[in-house]
Parts: sequence; structure tokens; C-alpha cells
Amino acid sequence: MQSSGTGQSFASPRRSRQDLVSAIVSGDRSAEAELVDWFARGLAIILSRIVKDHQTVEDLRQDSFRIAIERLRSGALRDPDALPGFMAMIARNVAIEHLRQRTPGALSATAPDPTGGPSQYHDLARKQNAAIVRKILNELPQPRDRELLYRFYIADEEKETICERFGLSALHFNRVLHRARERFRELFEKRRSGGGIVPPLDAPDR
Amino acid sequence: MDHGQIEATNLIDRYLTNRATPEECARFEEHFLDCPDCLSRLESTRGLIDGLKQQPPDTFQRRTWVGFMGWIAAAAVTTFAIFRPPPATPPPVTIPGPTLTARAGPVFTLATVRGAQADAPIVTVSGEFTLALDFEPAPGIKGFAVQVTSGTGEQLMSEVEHPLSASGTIGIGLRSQDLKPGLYRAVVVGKSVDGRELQRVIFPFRFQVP
Repeated sequence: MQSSGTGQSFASPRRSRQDLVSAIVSGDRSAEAELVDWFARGLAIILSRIVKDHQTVEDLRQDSFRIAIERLRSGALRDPDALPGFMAMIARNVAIEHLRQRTPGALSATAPDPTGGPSQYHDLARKQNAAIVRKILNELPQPRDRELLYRFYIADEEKETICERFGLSALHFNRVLHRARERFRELFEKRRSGGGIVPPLDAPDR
Repeated sequence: MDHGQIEATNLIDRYLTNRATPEECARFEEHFLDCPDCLSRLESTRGLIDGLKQQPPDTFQRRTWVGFMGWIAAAAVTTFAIFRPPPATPPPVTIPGPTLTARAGPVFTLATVRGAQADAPIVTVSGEFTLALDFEPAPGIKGFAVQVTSGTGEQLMSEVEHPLSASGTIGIGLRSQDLKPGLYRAVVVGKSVDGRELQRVIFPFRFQVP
């Protein structure tokens, strides 16, 4: 399965990349809104991989769209097919620039959290998110699988190291991860469709 | 980039945990910005990771028991310990202090991001344990070298290279039998792509017998 390489493969886009870029160049505000609709979730993923705080991610996403629209209006993107790469590059640069301005001492032992605490909504959503994971962990057939998830996702141990430690095959390792991911996805979608609060997934821990 | 390749190379996990190369990341970002399926998988995997991080310290406690059983089984092969019944509960792990928590196995987390505790105690445990060093990576840093020394400067663990972590956590394995009660320092050196030292952070901790 492969993405088509055009905006039409996505759920919401109404126009091709070429039409969208042309419309933005010509000052069509609805095209700008469509651009935001199209790339909002993806930019959040890119930004939150670099920046930890969800509010900062949101601010940087706005900055990314502002810069992107300004550049698109000015005709900076010659090849509309390169639109996703163009958007990704802007988001990366915005996030890196934010970090550069913020901290020579990001690793300082006394560096304060400049962004404040999470919002109540965010806090509640994350609690619900944690409850889903708790359920998944309780469903795991073997306690070893919990440890596997922990060591891979949190303690950053390498797959090979974990497999060696537990005498597992790579296949079994992948299966545990796959099942956990899919189960989370299933419960997450179920809650979304049930009208529950959906965790702001653009915000990683801390 | 096709989905078979993404699945086969575990790219979603590797992307979110900063195990993918910059080139892979750039190509994957171009792809998932236009791929609702990958986007959905990325979001759910991130949710899973976030949810794991939020679990209370006792969530993984059960695996301490498993680890301990494994240790007992190994010891039984060569010693008379085979005749000793295993304890009913895992060995106690007492972790006072706001910046040090036992997460599992046991895993001790030392954090600098939200205020360090200069002398976080680790009460002795059986066999191996993991020291998780928790902080926010700074720009320009592509990897870390970690070294553990005693308070007197004796090198307990020579420099080990770690890739940059998306979660900001580095896990290093230690054996309790290698440590005597006393002060230790885990030194993390952030390095650039070409190996230059950009930042140095020291995580002090104390190993003690209850």
C-alpha cells in the first residue's frame, strides 16, 4: 500500500496539491484553511518529537502555518508535489529555532520548565490515556511483556538487547509491540467515537 | 515509501523514539503528512508511550518478581540456593525523594529537568537494576556518552555511547554487586554529530544498604 502522492489520498483534502498551492498564491483564504486542515495533525507529530510541552507545540504549529502561508503566497514553492516536504521542513526549523532561542542550558540541572503546567483539559485527557494503557498492561498475558514495553519505549533499550535479555525472537518482540499498539488504537478510537475526551496526542510526557 | 517497508523496519516506533536516522525521519515525515493511516498509527503509538510514562511506580513492580525469580533460577544451578524457597514477595525497594522513583525491574529514575536532588538514595536491590537518567535534550545534540564514577573518582562504568532519545531518558544497566554503599555520579555528556562535547550533566546518587 502506498500513498498516492497527492493531497487526494488524505481524508479531507478537496483539491490536488497543485490546485491548493495555486489557490494560496492567488490569495484564496479557503485554500489556506484547507492547508491547515490537511497538515495540522502531522505538524503536531513533527513538532512534539522535538518540543515536549503541548502548549508550545500548539504555538509553534501556528508559527509554522504562518510562515508556510507567507512563503506559499510569495511563490517560494516551485514544485507543488513537494508540499509535504516543504511543510515538514518549516515545522522542523521552527521547532529547532525555538529550542535554540530558549536554552543554552536545556540540560542544566536547574533549568526551570518555562511553559508552566498542563491545562485542566490536557491533564484530564492524559489521565484517561493512562487508564487505557493501564488496561492494556493488565491484559498482557505475560508480565515479561510489560517489561518489554517499558524497556523499549521508556528506558530506551535497544531491541536486540531486550531480545537477548529475555531470550526472545525479533518476531515475538515485534508481536508484543504490535498488539499493544493496535489495542491502544482500538480503545482510543472506541473512546473517540463514544464522545469521550480524546488525549491531545501532540503532547508527549513532561 | 510504502507501508510494507514502514512495517518491516519498525519505522513508526523508531521515529517516535528517535532511533531513526535523520534521512529516514525526513522521508517518513514527507510520507505521513499525506498518509492518514500512518498518521493514525503515529498518534496511537505516541499515546501508548505517553500512557506508559504516566503509570505509577508500582505498575511494573511485578517484573521485579520475575527478574528475581530468574536470578534465583540462575543461582540455583551453581549453588545450594536451589534448596532455598524463593521469598513470597520481591525484595523491598525504598526510594524516598521527589526526583527518584522506582519504576520497575527495578528502574531508578534520576531527573534533572524539574529540579535535581543532589543526593538521591538507591537502597540496595538484588542483581541488576537500571538507572534511568531523565532530561530534555538540547538542540544540536545527537547522542550521549554516559560514565559512572564513585565519589572517590573510581570508574565504575566506562563511557558508553547512547543515541539521542525522544523521551529524554537514557537507561543504563548496573549490578548491585559492583557497588559499595556510598556516593556515585552518573555523568552524561551531550555530543554533536562530529563527536564534540556540547553539554555535561552530572546526576549524583547514593547507593545504600537498608
